[in-house]
Amino acid sequence: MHSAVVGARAVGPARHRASFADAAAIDWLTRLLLVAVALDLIFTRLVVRLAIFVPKGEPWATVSAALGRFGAATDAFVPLVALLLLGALLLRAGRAGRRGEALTLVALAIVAAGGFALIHLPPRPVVVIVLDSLIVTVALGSALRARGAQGPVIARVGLVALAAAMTLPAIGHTVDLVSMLAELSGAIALTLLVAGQLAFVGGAVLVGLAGALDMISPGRFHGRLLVGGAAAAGLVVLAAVAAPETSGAIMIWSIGLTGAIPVPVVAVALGLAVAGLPVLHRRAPMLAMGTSIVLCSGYGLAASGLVLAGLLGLFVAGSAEHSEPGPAEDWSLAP
Amino acid sequence: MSGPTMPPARLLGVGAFGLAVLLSVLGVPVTSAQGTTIFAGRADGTLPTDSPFDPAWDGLRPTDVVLSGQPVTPPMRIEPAFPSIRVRSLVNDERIAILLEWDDATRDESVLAVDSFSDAAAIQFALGDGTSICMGQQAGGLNIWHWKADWAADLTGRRDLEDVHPAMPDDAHFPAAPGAENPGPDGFLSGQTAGNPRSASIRTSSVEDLNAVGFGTLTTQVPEGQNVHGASEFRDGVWRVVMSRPLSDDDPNDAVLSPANPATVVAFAVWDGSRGDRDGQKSVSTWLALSLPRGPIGFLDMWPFFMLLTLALLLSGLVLFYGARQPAIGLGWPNGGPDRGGDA
Repeated sequence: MHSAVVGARAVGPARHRASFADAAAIDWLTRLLLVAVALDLIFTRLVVRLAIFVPKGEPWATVSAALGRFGAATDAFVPLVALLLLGALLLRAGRAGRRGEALTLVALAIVAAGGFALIHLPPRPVVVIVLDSLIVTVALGSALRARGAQGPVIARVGLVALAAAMTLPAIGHTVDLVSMLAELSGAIALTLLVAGQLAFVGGAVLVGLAGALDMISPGRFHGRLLVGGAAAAGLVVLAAVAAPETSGAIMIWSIGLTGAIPVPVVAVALGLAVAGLPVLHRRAPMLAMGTSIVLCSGYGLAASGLVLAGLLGLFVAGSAEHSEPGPAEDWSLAP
Repeated sequence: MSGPTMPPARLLGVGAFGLAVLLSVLGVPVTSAQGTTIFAGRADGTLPTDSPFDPAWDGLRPTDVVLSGQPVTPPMRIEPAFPSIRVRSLVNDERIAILLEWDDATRDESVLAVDSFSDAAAIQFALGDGTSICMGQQAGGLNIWHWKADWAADLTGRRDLEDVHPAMPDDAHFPAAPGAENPGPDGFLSGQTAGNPRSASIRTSSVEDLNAVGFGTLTTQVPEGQNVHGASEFRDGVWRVVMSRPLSDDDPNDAVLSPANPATVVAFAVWDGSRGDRDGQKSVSTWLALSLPRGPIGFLDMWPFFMLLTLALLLSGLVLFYGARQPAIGLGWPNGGPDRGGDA
């Protein structure tokens, strides 16, 4: 006789039927969303846009076209996976009877519906105000959940900073639109946009640092991760020194940072995130994966799929749940 | 005996990837841009297309558009010459007019000396999905309206080198025939003879209507296609430029500007002549959305949005209801552990 282990407990004899919304499924869909936004970042927002600088003769033109096609597919993949994860989370919230979570997820579902609607509908100021307000609601709701999230305090503070990064531009946008409708003067969107960048980079530093601090504990030295983090930071600095204009443009297009934060700070944040998040994953998998999704989604980018992915990342990062290692999921094999 | 089955979440994930590939091949978009939107106002009467400082413009709240340098291709501008421009737009049943406004300490309207450059501004419209902001690409071109201060100054009478250097010998105009007293046609003015709009002796508009599909492909439209009207005024250190065009336009090289369409994707650029701006040396914006009003916005105008909103609420409710009726198998440990009502 054998039993299936889900969560931390054996649930009855033998016949565990996999569900669309069990812990393992949500974990898998979260991983898939992370892979999707990472592919989108690397291909759609980085490689395809770098191809602008490549000569357009053959064979580069063909390579560029193929990359563009793949980039379009990853761009479409992100919102589709995000919808699946949203559905699974809704189902799970319904099962668990968590009303607060359910309300946040319903708001997220409306944001998703609005994102799809705006593909074919002209944006009305009122509609945009409603959607931005819901983005603020979901981000704040996720920030509140950070209290009960797994993981070290410093990482949870980082999660709050990332929630602020998603909230500030939406607030600025909303206030400006309300001012426009009320025929008032003054605009605050630009100021909040810069403050949001600071929160985004600060959040990356904090969640990365939370993992990096674990790394320096005795017996937990992770040489490869340190090298990876240092290489990522070095690459950013090197690119900024060698080609400041090109790297600045790529930074805006890929991650949404417009240069308000000095490059060395961004490099340190990236290095810490690359080295620290895999370590944080062992202690707080959902927090690590969620914040990774937020970071890969970028800051203040306009695509509705990335907005949805970022908000879902915030939501799962604040999750208090965790799956214990079982026959199918061995956390020691985590990256 | 059945073999191992793929869990439903994984099955759906694989299906999502297949669907994403299919949608991208078919060109069906699944994401929208939720960035800054310029909401055009509606005018019942005639648009102030010839009056950049008309009170009708001041009644519209401008959208501040941030500019950055152009660091992609030479000649570059690393720092923007102007931090931002203010954009307004008005439409009536026939035309659309877009007003660009920016602060500029100098009024640069001449290109007649080798080292003098003109102020200029441009609006670029994406002609398809997925085009590049950097002058477009083969998969998606651009329609560009390029206003030039020197062309605007030429509208009242074209200035030429003779105006800058009155004593210069006239070596361009040769007699039509040996012994004839009067100069003949400008046979040696190759630009004019070739039909180069920059060399035209008569200006019909201060705005050039152009297309591009990548770096080095900027092409002026044929004279019959030049349908963008321009008006500009420099007052107290502020440039105001109005560019306008009929809404209905069957020219495939022109941007489709219709209230029935979703937001049009636009970007802006400004050149400061006194700082040597020309060609790619300019201050540029990112993509923005331009939304045209269909008329007074009523509750029912937004029915598709409300339908989706209702659908999202219904589906969410259904999923929550369905979830609540399922046995709580595999819930993990919510908030504090199994004693708090997690697993069954």
